[in-house]
Amino acid sequence: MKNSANPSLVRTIFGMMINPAGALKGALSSKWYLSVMVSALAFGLFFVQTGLDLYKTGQKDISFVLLSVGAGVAYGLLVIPLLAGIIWLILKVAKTENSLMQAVSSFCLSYSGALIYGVLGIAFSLILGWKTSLAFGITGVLWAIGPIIITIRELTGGKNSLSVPIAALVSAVVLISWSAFGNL
Amino acid sequence: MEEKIMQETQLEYSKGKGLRKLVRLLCFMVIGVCALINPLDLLNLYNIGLGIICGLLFGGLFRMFLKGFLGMLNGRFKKEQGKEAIRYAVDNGMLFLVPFTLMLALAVFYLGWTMTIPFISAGIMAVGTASAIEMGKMQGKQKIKNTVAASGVSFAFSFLWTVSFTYLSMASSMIEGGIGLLRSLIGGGGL
Repeated sequence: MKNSANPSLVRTIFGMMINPAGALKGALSSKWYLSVMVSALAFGLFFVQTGLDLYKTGQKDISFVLLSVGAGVAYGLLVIPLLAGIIWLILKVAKTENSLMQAVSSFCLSYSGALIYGVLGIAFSLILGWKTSLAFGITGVLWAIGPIIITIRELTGGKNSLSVPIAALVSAVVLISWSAFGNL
Repeated sequence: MEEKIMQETQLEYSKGKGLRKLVRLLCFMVIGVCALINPLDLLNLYNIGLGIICGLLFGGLFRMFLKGFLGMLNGRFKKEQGKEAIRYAVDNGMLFLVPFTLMLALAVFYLGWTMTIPFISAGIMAVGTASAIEMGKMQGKQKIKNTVAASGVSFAFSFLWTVSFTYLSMASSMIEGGIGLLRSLIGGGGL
């Protein structure tokens, strides 16, 4: 997890999707705000697709779509770093040497795949009028699971016994909180 | 000396083998059940039974092919480290199924969704990638051939699941109907 290279944000985003272990080695740990921006944008796009789907089916009005954008961005900006902080505390007990900011940065970057799916999803939703929150939104969140496991494993020096249950728990929290938002 | 190192390595690979197996079997059983469950009749024993059988069969085949391809492409490594090494890499990769299975179970039983294919496909693909990463970790270098082979096998199985799912979901009602007919015939009800 040393900052051996200084890759661009775009390269890191695609790297996290294709080869998370490799991408993490040059992760933007010193520029944690860029990583938080990745998760904020990813969830902003995911939630707005949910809002748009509900608007298209006549279940919600346009104000809910706007609320979705705000809620998604806030989720990626606050909830995901908060989850990263909780995970870091757990990993601290397991004697991780990484700083809180490194953990937040790596964890937020795990949602790079969700950001790419989010961009594609919103394009299909707006241009072709498709309902995309499940096909693109959930798929993006599913894509994040692998990088989350690898991130936690890197932070714990290669322990699957911690990374798999924590990733499972985080994914469950994200799925349930998102579905609760859709039911508002 | 060499033999002792080999024995220690084998011992390391067999650590936690039972737990990994249990987790893997549970995951495939849950995947099978979630895929074939009837949302209107969650406790239907035919769906649950067929789901468990299909899940285990599918999981066993997937693991066998993944091990086979990785072993075939890493002949020298397999010879040096033994078959256990490949099994260790694949079984560790299979642990990546846990979060996907949990999300799938939540989606089916808590949220009441019937859409299960994305969860299963993503989980299978993640297992492939993870197995290749595990192989790379053990060999001290990530090799593109492992990634390609593992992703290829995973893609083939993901495709197979997606295609066969439609037919499998019909099978349980046909079995249930067949058994019902057989029962009525045995019971003297006739046709």
